[in-house]
Amino acid sequence: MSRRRARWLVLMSAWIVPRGWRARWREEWLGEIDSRTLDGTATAGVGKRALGAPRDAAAARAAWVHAGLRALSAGWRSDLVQSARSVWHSPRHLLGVTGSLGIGLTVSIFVFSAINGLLYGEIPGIQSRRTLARVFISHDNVFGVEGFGRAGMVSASPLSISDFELLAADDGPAFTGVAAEGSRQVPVALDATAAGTTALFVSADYFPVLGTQPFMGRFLAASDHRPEAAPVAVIGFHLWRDRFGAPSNILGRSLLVSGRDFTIVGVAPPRFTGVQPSDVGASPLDFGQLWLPLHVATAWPGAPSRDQSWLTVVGRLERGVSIADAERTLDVAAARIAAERTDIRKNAQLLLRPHGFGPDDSPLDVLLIIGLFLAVPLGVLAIACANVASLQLARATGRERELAVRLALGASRGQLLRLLTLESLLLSALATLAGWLGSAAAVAIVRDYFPLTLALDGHVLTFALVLAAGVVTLSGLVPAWLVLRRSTAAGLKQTAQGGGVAHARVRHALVVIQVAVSLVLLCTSALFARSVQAMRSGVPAPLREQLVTHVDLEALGHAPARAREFVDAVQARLQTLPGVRAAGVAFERSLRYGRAGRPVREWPFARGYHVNAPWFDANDIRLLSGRLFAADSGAEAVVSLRLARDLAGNDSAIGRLIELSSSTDIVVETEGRISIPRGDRSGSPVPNAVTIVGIVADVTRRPGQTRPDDVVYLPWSIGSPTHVQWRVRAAGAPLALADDMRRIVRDVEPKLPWIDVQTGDAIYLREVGALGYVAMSVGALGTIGLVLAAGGLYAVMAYVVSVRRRELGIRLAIGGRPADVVSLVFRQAMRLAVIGVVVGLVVAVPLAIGLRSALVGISPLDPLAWGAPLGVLLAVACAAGAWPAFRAAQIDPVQALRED
Amino acid sequence: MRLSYTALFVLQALAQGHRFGFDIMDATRLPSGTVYPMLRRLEGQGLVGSSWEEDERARKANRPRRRNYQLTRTGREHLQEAEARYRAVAHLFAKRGRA
Repeated sequence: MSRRRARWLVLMSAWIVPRGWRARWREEWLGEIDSRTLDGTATAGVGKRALGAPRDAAAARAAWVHAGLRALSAGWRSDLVQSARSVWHSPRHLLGVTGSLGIGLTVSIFVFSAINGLLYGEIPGIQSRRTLARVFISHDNVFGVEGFGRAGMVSASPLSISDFELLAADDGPAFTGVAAEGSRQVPVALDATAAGTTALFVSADYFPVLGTQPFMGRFLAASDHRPEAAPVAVIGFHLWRDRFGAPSNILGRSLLVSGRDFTIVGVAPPRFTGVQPSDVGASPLDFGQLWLPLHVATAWPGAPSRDQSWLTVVGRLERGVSIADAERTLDVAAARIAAERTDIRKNAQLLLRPHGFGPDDSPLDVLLIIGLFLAVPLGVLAIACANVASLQLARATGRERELAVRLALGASRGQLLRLLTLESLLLSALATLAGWLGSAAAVAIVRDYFPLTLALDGHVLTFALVLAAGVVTLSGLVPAWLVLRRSTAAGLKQTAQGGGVAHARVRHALVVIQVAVSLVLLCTSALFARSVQAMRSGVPAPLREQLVTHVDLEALGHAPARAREFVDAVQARLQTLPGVRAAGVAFERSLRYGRAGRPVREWPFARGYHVNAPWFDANDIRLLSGRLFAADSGAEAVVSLRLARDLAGNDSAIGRLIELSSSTDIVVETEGRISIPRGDRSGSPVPNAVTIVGIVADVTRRPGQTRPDDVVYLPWSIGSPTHVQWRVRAAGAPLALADDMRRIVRDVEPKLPWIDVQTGDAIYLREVGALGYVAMSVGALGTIGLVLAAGGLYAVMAYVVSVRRRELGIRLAIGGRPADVVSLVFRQAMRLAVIGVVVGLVVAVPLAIGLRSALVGISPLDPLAWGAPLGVLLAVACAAGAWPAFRAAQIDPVQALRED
Repeated sequence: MRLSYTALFVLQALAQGHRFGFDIMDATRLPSGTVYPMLRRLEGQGLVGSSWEEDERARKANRPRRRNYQLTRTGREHLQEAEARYRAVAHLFAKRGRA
């Protein structure tokens, strides 16, 4: 140390020396320092030693640092120990906080992980979904341009087998490979075990392009795709395990698919259902579980022709190639397709779309979706935070006197904030842990029902930590700061007065927010619940008694006469089956019916059913006038009431001639004559004119259907069926007849070892499906929100009473009646609840009106959906206000005054 | 008069011939904040005397004056007495230890 610096230090340090000694001491020190410096015996630490440091400066510094650290960590440690102890000694508080926050965090983290799964998750069995692109084709068709290509609107169709073959011959430099699959429902049988499944006819590179690995055996090899190859099949894991009982010797065994023999060579991995993932909550068994070579499809009875668009095609993009770039390179292949098929693929363009939903589709949309999905769970979390904030506020206010003493004894505000924050940090850490474990458990439960892979990965962890930080700030730091702001010496005097204006405002705001958020949640969930209830109760009565099965006659490969024989044989046996009230059989087609003086293109659409006589009884369709079909009915029709009114107005439609045209026909009018150049796809010509012999009641058979369909019933005898449905009305429980129905079909047609039989109401309710999930989850969250809000309301009101104890005691002491105190406290509680309800309604009503399209069967302002939550919430608020009010009236004035 | 350990250390350092504050700090390994107040107290009790360096000498060395400390007679007596007492105590403990 230089002499100058040493002197400066001495001059400065002299301030700590008593004033009387200062002058001489300073002189003495400077003399010593200078003497040492001048005679060369000065050490580096001379100045510091002059200030009192021991001789070994380094050791001294280390000792100082160590002591400092110890003091610091001792502070933290003691604070931490104290926080832990105080948390441990108030188990109710601990349970309240971790329970509230844990539930809110579990719900939020779980929903986020589901969104994360949708955005970034992989399809089970398929490698890196984001480098796959779906391929579509747009082209000019007979009516004009079907697609508008890259610019603007696109209406593209899937590829046909011939399109795919031309594309696969040279897929351009952007793809490492392309894969195609076409699906078809088939019955399968392994020895005596039969099942129905979805068969996927796949191209040669299918499995390598998708990057799928077999669970057992092998996949289809290139040699299996040669037309002369022996027929082989790969079955799905779930078909193997759940339908066939997981036999270990499955490889090499023969599988009967629609009456054809295939040798099983491999089993696909679990949850792999082909290119398309399954639906949320659906079983993989309802999706692709059988893979056959694509060339088999061309000879499959009833399968689409080589030129029909039915293939799902995906391409694996080369590394670093974007979808837009890849689309440009496909122009060559598109030109080849257009040149090859000038008749049906004129001006063909190949279009690419990402395979599934992803984060780079459109950030704004993604954010919107995340926001929408997360709004409800975050609402629950907000209620939980409000709960915890008021709990913490109550607790901290209870400790105000202690804090004021600490402040008075010299603790800094920072130290107190640390003490209070540590406690909420500890609680939040426990709650976050609970939330994380809860959502991990939830993910483990739903993982198998989710179409994409679900994991608690880095994104979810980050989200959880951000949430936890937000929760700590909202529910811990803010209350702590609010308490500290007024925890001064003056605070000692104020404690008894109940928290001050700022506190009261925060508390009141918390109650209002809680009530408002729970009202929004409750009303939304009640609306959805009512909507589902309306749909469930709206299942038409005949559907509850029905068993329904569909049979694809084309797939059987029979000639029309043989197909009719099959239907007649099954029908005859079904009619005599015990327990069957009526067995109706029909095949459906879409029709247009004639309007006098209008061109055919403007004829209205109608549903057409070729039905047998018992159909009307099986479906409980009442005859209103005229008669039903006789056994020998020819060109006759029975129409629904609505259609009859449309045709004849108030006159009777009976005896009128009605002109019909198949809606799939391409109708050409020349000189006023109608000609139908191509046959109806169902293979049966439509009679041009039929006589109306009867009018039946309108029926609605779909959820949310308000307007009945226009229906034309035609006699069974005049159509040639391609695809039939049986609707069997049972006298007892319909499902008891299912096995008998399967047995009858199997006995009549061995190629159909298994048919899918469902009850009418199950089919109806399946259409409720997605809405049911939404309603269920929103309803569950709403209930959680209500429970949390009820607890929170009670806690806050009880706390308000506790801080006003002294004031209420004084009121009672100076002559206030207990009834006045009850009414005072109760009115305060109800005022807050009512303000909360009003705020909630301001948000909820526009929200409900916005959700109008998602609600089926009820109005967005359904009185029950609004009345019930309002009633429940106000009842909860009453209870939460009444009990503390009652307790307030019990306050002993003397005791209350003595307490402070 | 009772002497603390610190006082004893300072007196011993002076008895060994250390005359300046810094020398005493070095000899006793005590910090300045201990040594200087102790010197003041001992001076007040008459056990230590002090004298300022001659002006002429300091001026020649181009530095402020230093302060010179020495034991007074009383101080020397007290030190001897204290040393004897501590020795006796040590002796006593040694004997007890042997016994």
